[in-house]
Amino acid sequence: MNRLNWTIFNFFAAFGAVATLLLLDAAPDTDSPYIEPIRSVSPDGTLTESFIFRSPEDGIAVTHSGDLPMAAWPPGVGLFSEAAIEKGLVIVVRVRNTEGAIVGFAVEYEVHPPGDMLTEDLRWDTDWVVVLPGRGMLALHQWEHSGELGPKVIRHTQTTGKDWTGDWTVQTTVGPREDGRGIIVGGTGEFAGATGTFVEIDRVTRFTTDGALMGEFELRVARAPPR
Amino acid sequence: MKRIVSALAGLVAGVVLVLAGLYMWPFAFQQRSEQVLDSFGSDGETESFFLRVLGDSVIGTHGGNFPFKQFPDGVPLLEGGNLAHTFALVTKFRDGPDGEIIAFGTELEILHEDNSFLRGRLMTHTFWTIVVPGRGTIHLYQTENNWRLFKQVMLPMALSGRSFSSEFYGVNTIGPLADHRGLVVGGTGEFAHRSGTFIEIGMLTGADPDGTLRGAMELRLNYGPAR
Repeated sequence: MNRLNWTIFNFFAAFGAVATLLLLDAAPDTDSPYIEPIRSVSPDGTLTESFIFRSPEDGIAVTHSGDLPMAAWPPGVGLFSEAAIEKGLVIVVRVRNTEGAIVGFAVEYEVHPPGDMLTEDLRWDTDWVVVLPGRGMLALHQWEHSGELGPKVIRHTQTTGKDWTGDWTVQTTVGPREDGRGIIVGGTGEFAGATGTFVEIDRVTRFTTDGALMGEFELRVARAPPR
Repeated sequence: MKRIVSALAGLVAGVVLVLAGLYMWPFAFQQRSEQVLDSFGSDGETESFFLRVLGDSVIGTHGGNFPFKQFPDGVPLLEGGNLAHTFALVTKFRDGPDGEIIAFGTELEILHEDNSFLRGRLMTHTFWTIVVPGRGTIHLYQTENNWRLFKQVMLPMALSGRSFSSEFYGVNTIGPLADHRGLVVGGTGEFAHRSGTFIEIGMLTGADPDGTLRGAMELRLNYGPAR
């Protein structure tokens, strides 16, 4: 190569190197868009925000021992069949804000007590983790009770062999706080160090003979003002 | 014509030089496994939870940008809104590498906003939740960097189209603590008010180009002050 060709080679080598460096620095683009939260502020500074999911459209998966009236889904999903976890249940859902926009996803974890959930008013531990891209993750804990879900909804379907349809709204949270509310356990991102309370409010509109619970479900979270 | 060839050759040389340099670059964090494993748990109480990949996995899905095959068949992707960079794994946990199933829970991830190939950052915000029936629930948060996994397993597999069948071992955790440890966020039951640190240790023994993985993971917890 003559001197001119070497100069061209070197120029383009430098250009290629710099361009590659810039591209490698910018990639991969893994920013999650920040979706402005919809929340209200009380006079004492408490921030109240709701995360809502609709069944069936926001459902991703459900699993448990395989012995509950609510069906595990999708078909063929692994079950919690081992003795130590046979009372466990996990539900994965997408969550929306109060305007219906998808803002994240959430997982519910339940550990059921011994007893007949269809005939007895039982209480159990439930945890939630809400994942909000661009904001962080939020861990919640509550006691829930079965209340009338068994006798009113599920037993009806089992005894009649027909879907239950209606419009029944219930706050399932009964603790662990004395005022019947659940608690914020902790979080990451903007929820790091968060404290406060929450309740789960379920509006059930249908329970099918094959075990699908339908309706709209809300986690109403009240974050205490920073101290 | 010779000038065009010189330009193209220079361009390719520049790109290849940068890519080769990046592949070989000895990022300091690549040595963290030895450093962290040597010192972790030297004081305070430690406890480990183990899971087989994918033998103990129940549900795996993501927003479309993770190189893993979702399971079981029929489970939807986490689609819509801002979920493109999210991942969810539902799994069982054991009390030893060959131990009994004692817990269930999840690994929930959001791709990190500071990722950059040039800086060797292929990171996630990772939130582990472990539900131990009879004991309570513990939540853990870490940032992990999968640069080594990408370089030594994923990239060769993608370029060759062949499965990986060797051993890959190391600490996946890179933060958020300065000494490459994750944090205990909080918990319930006997884990309420627990603090401390943890590391995620990966032991990969095989991987297929479709994203199927074989191996095991250990979450090694060190209860005590988070520092």
